[in-house]
Amino acid sequence: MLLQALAEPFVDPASRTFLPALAASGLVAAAWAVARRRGAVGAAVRALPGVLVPWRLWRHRSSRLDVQVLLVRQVLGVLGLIPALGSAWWVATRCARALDATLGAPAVPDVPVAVQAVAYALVLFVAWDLSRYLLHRLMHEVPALWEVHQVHHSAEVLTPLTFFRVHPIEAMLYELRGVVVTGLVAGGWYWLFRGETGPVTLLGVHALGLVANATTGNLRHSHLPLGFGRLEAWLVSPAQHQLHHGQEEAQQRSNYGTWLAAWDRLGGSWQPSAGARPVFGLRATDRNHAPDDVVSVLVRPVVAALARLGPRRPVALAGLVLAAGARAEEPPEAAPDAPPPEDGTAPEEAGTAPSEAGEEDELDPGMVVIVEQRGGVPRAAGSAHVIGEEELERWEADDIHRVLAKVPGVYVRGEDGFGLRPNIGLRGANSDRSAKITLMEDGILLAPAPYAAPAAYYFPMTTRVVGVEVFKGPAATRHGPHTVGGAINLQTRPLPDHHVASLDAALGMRSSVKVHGFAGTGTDRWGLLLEGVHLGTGGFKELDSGNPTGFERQELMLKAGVRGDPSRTVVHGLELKVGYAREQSDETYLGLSSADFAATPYRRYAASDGDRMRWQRTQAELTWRIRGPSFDLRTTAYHHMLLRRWTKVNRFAGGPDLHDLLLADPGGRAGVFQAILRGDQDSATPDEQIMVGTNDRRFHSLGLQSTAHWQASAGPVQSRLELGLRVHGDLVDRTHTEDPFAMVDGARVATGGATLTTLDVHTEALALAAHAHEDLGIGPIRVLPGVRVEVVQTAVEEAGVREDPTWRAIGLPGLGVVGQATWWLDLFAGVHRGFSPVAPRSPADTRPETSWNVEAGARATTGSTRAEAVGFYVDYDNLTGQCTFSAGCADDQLDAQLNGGAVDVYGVEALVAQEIRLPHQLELLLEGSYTWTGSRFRTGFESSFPQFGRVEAGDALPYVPEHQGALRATLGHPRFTFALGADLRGPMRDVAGQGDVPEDELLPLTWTLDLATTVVITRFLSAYATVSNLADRVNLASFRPFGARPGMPVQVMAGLKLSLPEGGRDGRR
Amino acid sequence: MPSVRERRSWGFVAGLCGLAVAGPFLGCGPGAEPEGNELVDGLLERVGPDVVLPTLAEVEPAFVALAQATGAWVADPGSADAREAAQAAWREAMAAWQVAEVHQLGPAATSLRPGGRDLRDAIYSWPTTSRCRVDQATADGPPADVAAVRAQLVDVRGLDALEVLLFSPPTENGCLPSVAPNASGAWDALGADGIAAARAAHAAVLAEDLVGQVRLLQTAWDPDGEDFGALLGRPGVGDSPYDGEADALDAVYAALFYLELVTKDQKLGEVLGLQPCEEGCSGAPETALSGSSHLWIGPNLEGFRRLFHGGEGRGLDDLLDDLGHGDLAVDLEAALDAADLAASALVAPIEESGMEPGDPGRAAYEAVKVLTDLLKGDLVTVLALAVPQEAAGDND
Repeated sequence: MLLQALAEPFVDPASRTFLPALAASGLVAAAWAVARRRGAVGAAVRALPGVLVPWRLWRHRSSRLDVQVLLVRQVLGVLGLIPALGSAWWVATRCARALDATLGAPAVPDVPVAVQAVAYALVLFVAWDLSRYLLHRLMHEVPALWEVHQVHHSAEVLTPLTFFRVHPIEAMLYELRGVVVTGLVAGGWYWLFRGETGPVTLLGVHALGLVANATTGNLRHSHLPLGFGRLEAWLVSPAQHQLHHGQEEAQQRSNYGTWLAAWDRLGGSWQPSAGARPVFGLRATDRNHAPDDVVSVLVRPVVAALARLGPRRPVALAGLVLAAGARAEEPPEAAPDAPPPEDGTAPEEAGTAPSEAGEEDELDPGMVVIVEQRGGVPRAAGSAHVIGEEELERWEADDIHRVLAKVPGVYVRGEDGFGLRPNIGLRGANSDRSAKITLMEDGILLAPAPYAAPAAYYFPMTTRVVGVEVFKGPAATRHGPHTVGGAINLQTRPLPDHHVASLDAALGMRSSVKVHGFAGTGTDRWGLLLEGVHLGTGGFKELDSGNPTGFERQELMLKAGVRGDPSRTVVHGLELKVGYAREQSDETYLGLSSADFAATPYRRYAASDGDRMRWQRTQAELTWRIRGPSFDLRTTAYHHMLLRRWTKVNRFAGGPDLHDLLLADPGGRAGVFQAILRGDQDSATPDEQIMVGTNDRRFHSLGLQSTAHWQASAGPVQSRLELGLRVHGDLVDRTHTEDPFAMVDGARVATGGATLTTLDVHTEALALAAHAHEDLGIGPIRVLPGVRVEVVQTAVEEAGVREDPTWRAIGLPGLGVVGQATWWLDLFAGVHRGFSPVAPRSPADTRPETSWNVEAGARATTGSTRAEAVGFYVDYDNLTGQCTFSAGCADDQLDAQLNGGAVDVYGVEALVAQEIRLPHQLELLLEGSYTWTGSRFRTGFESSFPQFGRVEAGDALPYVPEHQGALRATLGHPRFTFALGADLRGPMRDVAGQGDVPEDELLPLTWTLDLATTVVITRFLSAYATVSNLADRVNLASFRPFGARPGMPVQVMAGLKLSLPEGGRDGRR
Repeated sequence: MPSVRERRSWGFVAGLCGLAVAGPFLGCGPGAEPEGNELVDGLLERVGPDVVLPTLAEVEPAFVALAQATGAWVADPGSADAREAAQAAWREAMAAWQVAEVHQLGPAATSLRPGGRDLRDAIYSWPTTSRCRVDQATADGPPADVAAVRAQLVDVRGLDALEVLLFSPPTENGCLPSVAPNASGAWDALGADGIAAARAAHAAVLAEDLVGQVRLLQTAWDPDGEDFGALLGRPGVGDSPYDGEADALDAVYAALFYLELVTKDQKLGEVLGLQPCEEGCSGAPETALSGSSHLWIGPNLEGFRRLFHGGEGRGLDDLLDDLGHGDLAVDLEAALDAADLAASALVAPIEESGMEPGDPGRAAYEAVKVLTDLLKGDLVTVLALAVPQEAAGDND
């Protein structure tokens, strides 16, 4: 205990002589020494030892007495002879209770938490400083107190340890001051804000105080006459405090303040330092104790003080005795975070590869590409991947999750098993409804309302997509608004310049049907294309009633365009794209209990029978292009509309939240509610009614987007500048209702009860986005700086009440470098600022998601081998959780973003591909990819976002697997292909945490095997078959939103393709 | 060169240091003052032995007596005396259990909470009670044994199911005519004697199950058994389901909050119409069949009192005293006494006790509200308020 007490002044961050604070003061002193010698660094360095460690001062008897007083005070504390005079906590709780009793508990003011913390810190700082000033002044003006305070003023030399040269009685008085002031302010603040936040702190100590101590605090007791000049009118300088330590009475009665000069100015005790060099200490005739005797220091001042008190002596003695017996109550460190929980429900927006955004591929003037490639290899200063049409057709994948499984660094969370509503995340960004990545179709934002409601409630059918670009990292400057994780661009079929036609029809298990056709024609001057897809299935989940659980979806796209004479220097082009899509799916959010999932993973509970989604979408885009010898400009006006209505089980009228209910043990009351969901028991009481919600939503988005490129070269230097501008507006109207149903004889039956309106909200957003990006090549080195600016205004109108619009603006810089080390090896690195705007309806204290993203890697490409490895680190200043129903949130939190604080995400992505030519025109392509990801919350907090919950520092992110990988082997021949693929995803957490994952939060390792084969029958006709999940693995895809959900079981599809042979199936010549 | 006085001064300092080092060995110096954590831990580790186990020790014999009484009823199902004796035993058992209702932490709590094993629901699952389902089970043939009982859902067993069996009008059941056992005619086919016999047999096996369930709960807390009290008293250590003192204290607080959420809101407020009865609220009184809803408020308050006082040992009141808020403990005690008095004035079922000022129902509601307002307000302030640390300034 003694050693601990002796070390405390140097290791306690709250102490003035905290070692880092001493070191910081030393730096300030050194800087002062240099400044004083007018930048003569050499002279300053030589003078430093004298400045920092003035030996003559440390050897002085006054300094030795400082040490003795420090030792004595610490030892007396260990021996329990210095009583605590109270507890700030006790004062605070008394104050808060008294305010509650007299004034009642106020409504908590709607002040952002960050503002509260800063204001609280400022109020405390001012209160503390004022109270110190007042007590210090009393120590000088009250004779009895001056007798005690003399101990500090008798110091003849000043060192940082003089800080401790204070009589124990004076130290007790200052402590009492702190107890009262801290208690009153803390109590009043708690009464007002109910403990929502504390003040801004560093190392657990008030931040302002710590910084003040660290910078100039230790110089106040020193011989460095550091003045602040004119600033002394506001802040007390070390030189002013040294003046206060002068022998003259006029000096001693000046500059009582600690940090703020305001009190001295108001009290008439302010004096500038004005270059004064006072003589420190007290004259022998002015002091009451011997300067070299610690016993005299302890005893004589008390005697002198009592003598001063005269008739008041007994009162003072009684006070001393009481103080000696005082005991401070301290609060329990354990405390409930809030009033206890009530039973009930929980509270409730392609891959673009790096490279120039929106640039048209040289080979395919009609397609918008985001990943510039050369020889099929991305040229980005970061991780970028392209999945071309050939590969998409090989696998005939209709589920975007399966398409993206081979791309490293992409995290997906399955939900319906078909990929109808994908949940895609990149680099740790939350994957719910792909809301944290920039999703585009042909370079145009495809989310229904990417600013007003970022979740991608619509996703194009992968069947009609001819390319998928995934771009992470340096895409930030060119694609927004969500730039933290990256971007994905889906490419549609370009206008043909010759006759094209294709018809693909397939049948599969569970009444699955696919019909996909396109037809088009054109020349190099015009083109016309019509494409349509129908996809349907009876579904793989089983309702007891036998009702279907599948979907039907149709999409139509029409493109028409004209181009100028390509031989001209400047060529104009105009293209119109219109589309219509619709879907009806018997989908539900209701999953299974863990026990039921283990027994019958493809079962659907009777309570979800009748859940249905319907939506329809229209899109219209008009693009004007100009291409010149060294420039191109592409401008697109677009309008998308989505009408979506989903009727589904939301909750029980009473009872626990569905997610928690289904993860609970089947015993107890939870078992009764589970039985009702299954249809095994009827609803018997009002709280056992099933509330079925209908989410009626209307989305509009429209905008004007322009991207321009200029190319220039001079000698070895090549420049490609991209400028982009987008004006975008979007809105979403949500009308959500709930109707009560009862389970009767295994069927969900409407009770006829009143329809509740649970949400009636209109949100809209207006955004201006601009970016500039330069690709500067100098020989083998390319430097890619860029900047993006987003200015966003959002507004919310809820239940007829319109809130004031919110404005936010941010600049996002980025820099990438690519170097060609050898003809086969590129090295690249990049750093850029990531951002995701705050969605409307988020709590007032929600901050935008921002990050610094760093990545570096290497890309090796030979004729037949390609390998890439990228290391990345994402430093989130604030990672947010996006509240959607699919994440398990409730109506009142819908689309809100909730702070997750500082998070680190880091990892490695690797891929390798090898082509092997074999005899007999055979080619073997082997591909492998692997991603290792680590994640860590840097702070602990309590969140209402279900996937965060109570977070502790060090917790890992949910739904981000540490390991995932894919293998592909494709044997190709002009007459057939045979492909085998394996995807593996390591275990994931359902909720943020660390260490062993509780069983009800663990998504175990999953793997699937897929097989695809194509046989060319004639020039026009080919046959194909695909087997997804060949091993028929039962994979647990997610626990969200309500209970365990499986991935797709084995699915076999077989079909025929009929197409015009010339130009193949992609419409290109 | 140090002066003589200075050398003496250093000698004094050295002597003090020596005293500080030797003091603990000589028994000098202050003992370590218990800090906040130790005060809380001292409270937590006594919840099991001083509160929960003594309460269960009163519940177990009452359940045994109930089992005996229902056993006697099985022997003579037509006897009105035997039925009334069983009803009286049920009231005694309920009164004993209603004290434990306020101790739903650890194994008794729902499995959605740390350490929860739904053992309370297995004994008494109100308001998740289905009168019709109990009668359906009776008509289907009561469970043959305790194992069969435990295979059923909680809404057809426990004290609430026993109420249905003991207090339903002799030949009536709680099902609609359109469902079993009415639609199938199975109920009428039993006849009055058959219904009585079936109900008696059903009651007897449910009562036997109750004895087993309370003993399971006792074993879970027993220091010689599973000793859950040790896990509560040492949160964050070993197998404790609580991450730290905050979680453990939260569990105790949540148990006490039964008085707010269930006793005040569901049993009194919603039934009397003094609180809005929104979706999911039935507004139906507890144990309406037996007309005994007014009898359980007092035992709930007794359960609260025991947990607050820590039984014969250390409780929240002692913690408040140690923290310098003994006046809050006094206020809580006074409010508890007043609520007890108001509860004892309830002589009719709550739904008949009146909601107007001066009515016993209203008086009981308001008295309990005074207590729970202190629970939600001042007690949370004392337990949740945190004080910032000031950086050292001159002269500290």
